[in-house]
Amino acid sequence: MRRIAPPLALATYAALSSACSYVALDNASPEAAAITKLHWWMFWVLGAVGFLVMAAVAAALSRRFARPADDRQRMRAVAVATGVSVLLLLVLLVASVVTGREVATPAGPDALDIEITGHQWWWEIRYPTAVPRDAVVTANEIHVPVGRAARLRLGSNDVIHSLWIPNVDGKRDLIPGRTNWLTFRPRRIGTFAGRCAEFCGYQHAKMGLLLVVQTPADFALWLAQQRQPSAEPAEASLEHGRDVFLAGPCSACHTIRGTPAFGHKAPDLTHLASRATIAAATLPNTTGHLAGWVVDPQRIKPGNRMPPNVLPSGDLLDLVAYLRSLR
Amino acid sequence: MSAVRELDVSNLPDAVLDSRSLVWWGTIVMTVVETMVFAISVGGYFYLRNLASAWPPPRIGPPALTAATVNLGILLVSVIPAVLLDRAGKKRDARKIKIYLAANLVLGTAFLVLRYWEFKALHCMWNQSAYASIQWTILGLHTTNLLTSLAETAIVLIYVMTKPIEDHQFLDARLDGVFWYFIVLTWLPLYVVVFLVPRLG
Amino acid sequence: MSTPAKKTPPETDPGEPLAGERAELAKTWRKRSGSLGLLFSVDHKTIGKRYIITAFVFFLVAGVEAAAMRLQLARPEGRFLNPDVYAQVFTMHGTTMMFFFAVPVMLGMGLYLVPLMVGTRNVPFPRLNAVGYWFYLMGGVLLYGTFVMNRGPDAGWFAYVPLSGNAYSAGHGMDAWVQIINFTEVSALIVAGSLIVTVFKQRAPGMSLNRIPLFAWAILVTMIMIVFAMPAVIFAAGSLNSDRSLGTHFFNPAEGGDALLWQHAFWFFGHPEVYIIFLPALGMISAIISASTRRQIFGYTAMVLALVATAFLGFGLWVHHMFATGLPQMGEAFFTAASMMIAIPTGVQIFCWIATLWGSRPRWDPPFLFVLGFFFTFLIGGLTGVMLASVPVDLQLHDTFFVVAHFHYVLIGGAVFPLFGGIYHWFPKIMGRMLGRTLGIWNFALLFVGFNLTFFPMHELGFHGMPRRVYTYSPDRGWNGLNLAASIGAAVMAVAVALFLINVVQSLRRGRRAGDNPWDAESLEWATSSPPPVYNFVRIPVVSSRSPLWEPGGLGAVTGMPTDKRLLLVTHPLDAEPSHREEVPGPSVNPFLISLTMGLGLIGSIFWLWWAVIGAVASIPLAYLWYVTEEDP
Ligand code: HEA
Ligand code: HEA
Ligand code: HEC
Ligand code: CUA
Ligand SMILES: [Cu+2]
Repeated sequence: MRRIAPPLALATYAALSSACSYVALDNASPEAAAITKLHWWMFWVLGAVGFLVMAAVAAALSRRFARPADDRQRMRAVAVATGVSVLLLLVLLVASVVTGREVATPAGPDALDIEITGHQWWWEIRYPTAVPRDAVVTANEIHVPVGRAARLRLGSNDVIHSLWIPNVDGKRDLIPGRTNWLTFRPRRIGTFAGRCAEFCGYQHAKMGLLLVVQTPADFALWLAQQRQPSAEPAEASLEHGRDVFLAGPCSACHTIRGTPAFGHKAPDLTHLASRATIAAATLPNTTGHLAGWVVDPQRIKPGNRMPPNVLPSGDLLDLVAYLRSLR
Repeated sequence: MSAVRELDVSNLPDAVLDSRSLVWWGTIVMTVVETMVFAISVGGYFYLRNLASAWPPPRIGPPALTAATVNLGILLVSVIPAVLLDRAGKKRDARKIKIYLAANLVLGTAFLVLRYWEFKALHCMWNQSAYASIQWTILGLHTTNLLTSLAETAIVLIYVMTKPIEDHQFLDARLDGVFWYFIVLTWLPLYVVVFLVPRLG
Repeated sequence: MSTPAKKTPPETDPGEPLAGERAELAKTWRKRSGSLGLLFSVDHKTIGKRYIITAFVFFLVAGVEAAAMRLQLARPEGRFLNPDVYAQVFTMHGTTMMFFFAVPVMLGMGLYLVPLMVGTRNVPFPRLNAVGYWFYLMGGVLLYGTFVMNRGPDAGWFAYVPLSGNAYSAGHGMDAWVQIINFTEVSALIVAGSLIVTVFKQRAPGMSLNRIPLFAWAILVTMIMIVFAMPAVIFAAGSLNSDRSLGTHFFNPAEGGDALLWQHAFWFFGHPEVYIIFLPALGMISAIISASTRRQIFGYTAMVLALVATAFLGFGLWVHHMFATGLPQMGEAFFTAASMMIAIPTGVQIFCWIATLWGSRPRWDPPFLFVLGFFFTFLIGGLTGVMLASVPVDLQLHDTFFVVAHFHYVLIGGAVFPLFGGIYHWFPKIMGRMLGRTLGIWNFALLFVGFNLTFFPMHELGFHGMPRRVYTYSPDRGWNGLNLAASIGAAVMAVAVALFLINVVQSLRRGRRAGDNPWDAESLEWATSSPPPVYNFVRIPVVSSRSPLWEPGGLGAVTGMPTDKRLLLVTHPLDAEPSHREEVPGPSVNPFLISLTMGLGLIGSIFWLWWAVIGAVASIPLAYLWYVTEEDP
C-alpha cells in the first residue's frame, strides 16, 4: 500500500486544484453559460472515471484488496467496466450534442450584423448599412447592445485567424475564401477581452480585441458618433498634426474619413481616440503609448506591418495630439 | 537438446514463384500504398469539384477524348502480353519471358508517348486553376507509376538478355506482369475521373 | 525448385552441441568490418538500433528546444527569444518530436524487436530497409540545416495554409519542411512494408495468429495504419510543394482551391499519426506487464481486437482538430461520436491490464514503474481528450494550453513513459547489460514529478485562456505563476533525462551482464543470447503456445535449414506452417549510395526543380546494380 500512496495523493491534488476558475465562467451570454455548464459537468464525470480507474489499479496492486480471481470473474469485471464506459460515453455524447444545438441557435431577424476581417495582426470591424458609404468602419473594438443577438460575419484576406471572446462564445476561424458566422446574445454590460486563437504569424501573440457590451442607448450613440467623419482640427497645432499625417507615409495605409487619407492596409483611424487600446489591444490608448507606437511600432510588436517613423519631436507631438483629438 | 521437439525443413523448396513469396507480398504492400495515394487524390478531386461553381472552369472547358480513348485501347491490349508474361514466368519459360517482356516494354512505351497528347487534351496548364492542378496531379501520378514500371521492365529485360536466368528472374517477370495489371486497373477509374467526369458539367 | 538440403553440420561435443552450425551461420551472415563497413549494414538489429539512437538524439535536441520555450515563457514579457525565433522553435520542437523522435523511435523498436519476437533472421528486404534509415537521417540533417541558418520552418508542425504558402512564408525554410515530410514518409513506409511482411510471412513455425506476442500485434497494426495514413500526407505535402514552387492552386481560393483542403488532408494523416505513436507503446506496456507479473496478459483476443478497432476508428476522427473551422453541425456530431467511441477500445485494454495485475505481486523494477506512470498520466490525457471531443467545449479550449496539456499527457504519458519502460526492459537484450536499478528509479521519479509539474498547470492555463503558440504574454493575465511552475518542471524533466543518459553510459561501462532472459519473460527475443548474434537464432524456434519460453516442454527447433546461405524460413500467414525458404541479400553499400543520390536530388529540388529528376535518373544505374547483385564484393 505504501508504494501507491503518492499517485493517489497526486490524483486528489489534481482533482482539487483544477476546480478553480475558468475564463468563460464569467459568462456574459447564454451561449457561454451553456458551454461552461457542459464543461464542468464533463469535468466531474470524467474526473470520477479517472479516480475510479486509478483506484482499481491501486486495488489490483494491493495485497489486501486483490483477492485471487479466476478468469470468469475477471472477464465479468472487464465486461462490466466496458459496458459502463459505453453508457457513460453515450450520455456525454448526448449532452455534448444537445449543448451544441443550444449554442448554435439561429440569430433571428433583429440580429445586429457585424463584419469582421482578420488581418496580420489586427481586426477590421465594419457595421454594414444599406448605403455602403455610410458603413461604420473601426478596428480592434466591437461594440454591441446588450440583450440583442449579434451576428458576426467572419472573413480574412491573408491567413487564417480565429476570433475568440471567451465570455460570450467559443472560437470560430476566419478563413480566406470562406465565410463563417458566430452568433451570441450578450446579456451583461461590460468590456470583455478577446483575441486571435489561430497561429497567424509572428505577432499572433499580440492580436487582441475588445468587446464592449453597452445599453442600447449608449450603443446607438456610439454608432452615430462613429458614423461621423473625423473631427476638424480646432487648433493650429492640431492642424499641423494633420498635415504631418497627410504629408507622411501614414495616409498610404490608414484612412481618416473627412481627410484625403484613405489607405486600406491598416486600421481606420477616423475615431481612434474613442478606442480604449491601440495595436490590437496591445497597449492602452494614451498619448505616451501612441507616440511610442508611431515612432517605433517594431519595438512594441516586432514584425508587424507598420514601419517606424522618424519625425522631428515637434511634428511628433502635434501628430499625436491630432490623433488624440479624433474622438 | 534431446528433449526438444524438432521440425525438419530440409526438403522445403528454396524458392517459389507465386503469392507465397516475400517479394510478392512486398509488391502487394506497395500497390496498396499507391492505390491509397490515388484514392486520396481522387478524394481531393471531388472535394474541389464540390466547391467549384463550374467543373471545369468555363475558360478551360472539358478535355478532349480522342488521345485518351486511343490510349485506353492500347492499355487494354497491353494486358495480353502481361498475362502471357505472367504465365511464362510461372512455367519458367526463358524464351517466352524475353519476348513478352519486350512486348510489354513496347506497348508501355507507346502508352507513355500518347500520354503526351493526353496531357495536351486537358486544354490547360497545371497553374491555371485548382481544376487544372488536380487533373495534372492525377495524370502525373499515374505517369510516375508507369515510368517506374517501364524502368523495372527494362532492367529485368536487360538482365535476362545478358545473364543466365534463375528462379529469381522468373518470379520478377511474373511480378512485372502483376504490377502492370495494377497500372491498368488503376487507370480505368482514373480515366473516368480525368476525362469523363469533367463532361458531366 | 528445391536445392537438396545442405547437410546440417553434425552436432559435435555435448557441451557445445551446435558449435559447427553457429560458426557457419556467423560466417554466412557476417557484417562488413571497419568503419566504412557501417555504410554496408543491412541487419535489422543494426538498422533498428540506429533508428532508436538517432531518434533519441532528436529527442534531446527537441527537448532543448522545449527548454528554450519554457525559458521564454517562464516570465511575462520574456526577452529570451524574439517572435521570429520562437515560431521557428516551436515548429521545430513539434516537427522533431513527432516526425523525428516519436514515430522513428517506434519504428526502430519494431525493427529491432519484431523479427526476434517472431523468430526470424532478418527482415525480408534488408537493403530497402537500410534505405529507409538513410532517408530518415537525411531528412533530419536537412531540417536542422535550415534551422541552424536561422531559416527554419515557422508555421507550426501542421503548417496550415496559407500561412505556410509562398505569400506568407517565402524562403526555403518551408520548402525544406515539405521535403523532410517526404523523407520521413518514405522511411516510415519502408519500415511498414518490411514489418508487415515479417509478421505475416516469417513467423516461427507454430506461431499461429493467436500466438503472436501483443507487441508484435501492436506493431503490425501500426504498420498497416502507416500504409493507409501516409498517402494522405504524400498528397498534402506534394500539393503544398507544387503550390509553392510550380504555381498550382490547390489551396488558393481565388482559383478554385481551398485552405481547408490542406487541413483535411493533413489531419487525415495527422490523427492516425498520433495512434501510430501510441499503439506500439501499448504493445510495450503489455510486454512489460507480462514480464513483471510473470503472467500472460488477460484477454488476449480482446486486446488484439481493441488494437484493430483503435486503428480502424482512428481514421474517422480527423475533423476533431477542425471544429473551429465552422463545418456543418451534423458532421461535427459524427466526429464527436467517433472520438468518444475510441475511448472504448483503449478502455478495454486498460481494464484487461488491471485484470492482469489483479493480485499479481509484480516486480517493482524501473520498467514497471514506468507502466504505473503510464496509467496515471495517460488516463488524465485520455480523459481530457474526451472533453476536447465535445464540440462546444472544444470551441472554448481549442488552441489553448489545455490542448498542449492534453497532447503532452497522451504523448509523454502514453508513449514516452512506455518507451522508457521499454528501454529499461529491452536494453539488457540489446546491449547485453542491465541498466542500473537505483538510477532507474530516480530517473522515473524525477521524470514523473517533473512531467506533472510541467504540464499539469497547463490545463489550468488553458482554462484561464492562455493561447498556445504565443511568444509572450502580458503580466496582468494571472498566468505568471503557473507558467513559472511549468518551466521549473521542465528543468526537473531535463535532470531526469540526464540521469537516464548517465545510467546508459554507466551500464555500458560496467553494467551487470544480463544473460539471455533476465526478466524471465515469455517471448522469443529472450530465447537467444544478449545481445543476439547477427543471425538471431542458431536454430529457428518452433513454438506451441502463446508464451513459448514458459512452456514446460521447452522450445522446439527447426532443423535442416542450410547454414551456408542467408536463408529465411517463410511460413504460412495464418497458421505459420513452414512454406519454403528464401534467400535474402547481404551487406551492401548500394542503399547508402542510392539514398544519397535520390536524397540530394530532392534536397536540390528546393533550389532548382530539375535536381529531383536528375537525382532520379542518376540512381537508375544504381538500381540496376541493386538488381544484379545480392551482396557487394
Ligand atoms: C499519443 C497521442 C494521442 C492520443 C492517444 C490521443 C488520444 C485522444 N485524443 Fe488527442 N491529440 C494528440 C495526441 C493524442 N491524442 C495531439 C498530438 C493533439 C494535438 C495536435 C495539435 O493540435 O498540435 C491532439 C488533439 C486532440 C483534439 C483536438 C483538440 C484541439 O485542437 O482543439 C481532440 C479533440 O477531440 C483529441 C481527442 C482525443 C481523444 C478523444 C483521444 C482518445 O483516444 C483517448 C481515449 C482514452 C481514454 C478516454 C482513457 C482510457 C479509457 C477508459 C479508462 C475508459 C473509460 C472512459 C470513459 C468512460 C470516458 N485530441
Ligand atoms: C512526443 C512528442 C513531444 C514530447 C516528448 C514533448 C516534450 C516537451 N514539450 Fe512539447 N510539443 C509537441 C510534442 C512533444 N513535446 C508538439 C507536437 C507540440 C506542438 C508544436 C506546435 O504547436 O507546432 C509541442 C508544443 C510544446 C509547447 C507549446 C508551445 C506553444 O504553443 O507556444 C510547449 C510549451 O511548454 C512544450 C513543452 C515541452 C516540454 C517542456 C517537453 C519536455 O518533456 C521535454 C523534456 C526533454 C528535455 C528537457 C531534454 C533533456 C535534455 C538534456 C538532458 C540535455 C542533454 C543534452 C545533450 C547531451 C546535448 N511543447
Ligand atoms: C505600411 C503601412 C503603414 C504606414 C505607412 C503607417 N501605418 Fe500605422 N499601422 C499599420 C498597420 C498594419 C497597423 C496595425 C498594426 C497591428 O496592430 O498589428 C497600424 C496601426 C497604427 C495605429 C494603431 C491603430 C489601432 O487602432 O490599433 C496607429 C495609431 C497608427 N498606425 C498610426 C500611424 C501613423 C501616425 C503613421 C504615419 C506616421 C502610420 N501609422 C503609418 C500600417 C501602417
Ligand atoms: Cu491572427 Cu493569430
Ligand atoms: Cu486527433
